[in-house]
Amino acid sequence: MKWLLIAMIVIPGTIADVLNTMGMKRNGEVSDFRPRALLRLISSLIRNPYIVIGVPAMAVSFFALMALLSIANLSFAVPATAFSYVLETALAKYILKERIGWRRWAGASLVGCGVLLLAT
Amino acid sequence: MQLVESGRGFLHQEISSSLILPALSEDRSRPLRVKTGTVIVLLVVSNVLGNFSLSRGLHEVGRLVSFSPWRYIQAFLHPMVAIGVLLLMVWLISQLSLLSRVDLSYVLPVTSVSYVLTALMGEFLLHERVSTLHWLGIGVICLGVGLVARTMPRTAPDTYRATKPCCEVAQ
Repeated sequence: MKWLLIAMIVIPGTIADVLNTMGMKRNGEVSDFRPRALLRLISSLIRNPYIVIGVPAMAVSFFALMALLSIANLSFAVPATAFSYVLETALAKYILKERIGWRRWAGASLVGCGVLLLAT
Repeated sequence: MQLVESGRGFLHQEISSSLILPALSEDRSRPLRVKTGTVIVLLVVSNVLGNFSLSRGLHEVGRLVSFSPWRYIQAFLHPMVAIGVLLLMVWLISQLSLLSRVDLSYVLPVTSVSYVLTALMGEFLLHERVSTLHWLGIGVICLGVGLVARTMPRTAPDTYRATKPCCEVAQ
């Protein structure tokens, strides 16, 4: 059960981040935060196929994390999410074609290690 | 001159209202630094406070292992839960708008500052003791964030953008 929940956190969470990035890059830059512009943004996002899959996947990951935290310790739940920093950086390089230099690799690894330490 | 004015406007607006930010879309001189920084702050704060009030609220409501929808509706009526859900909606919008302009591999490490903020909130507001290992973790995260923050925020190619005209900039 615990490992199933870990899978339900990591896999949908990773898919969600990649799809949301694709969807939002396709949508164009969001720079207006006034209420009317936000409503227009939402109405265009619900017709964006990447976001329509990405946001529910994010919700699955979120609720799986909540469920896991209610039956397991933080120190069991967090290592998987810490690992996802490096995994998603790799996916960003190969799927999203982001240019990732040594600073990004080192930064993502350090953040992952730091999150692991916080879970001890 | 224009740059200075818009910079001042940015600060003023940020103080007067955290949610309704002005559209600085015409400011091409510093398009990434100013606005992206604001969104990151909004994202981190709404994430930390949202998670905090949601977990507090759900704790008070009790265990949510039930198939009756009434239990869930009851949970949402709890003020802490409602505030938490609202804040997480703010978080979602700011996460998506951040992803619309910078790389995923930039967003993820930089927004992990929220772990640091959560730990610090535990120390100073909830008076939980932060252990030496946790301080080490906070330091390591900050180091990683500092490294990533010094990279170009956006390196991804514009392949997706050509398919659809940008609908948010003009207003």
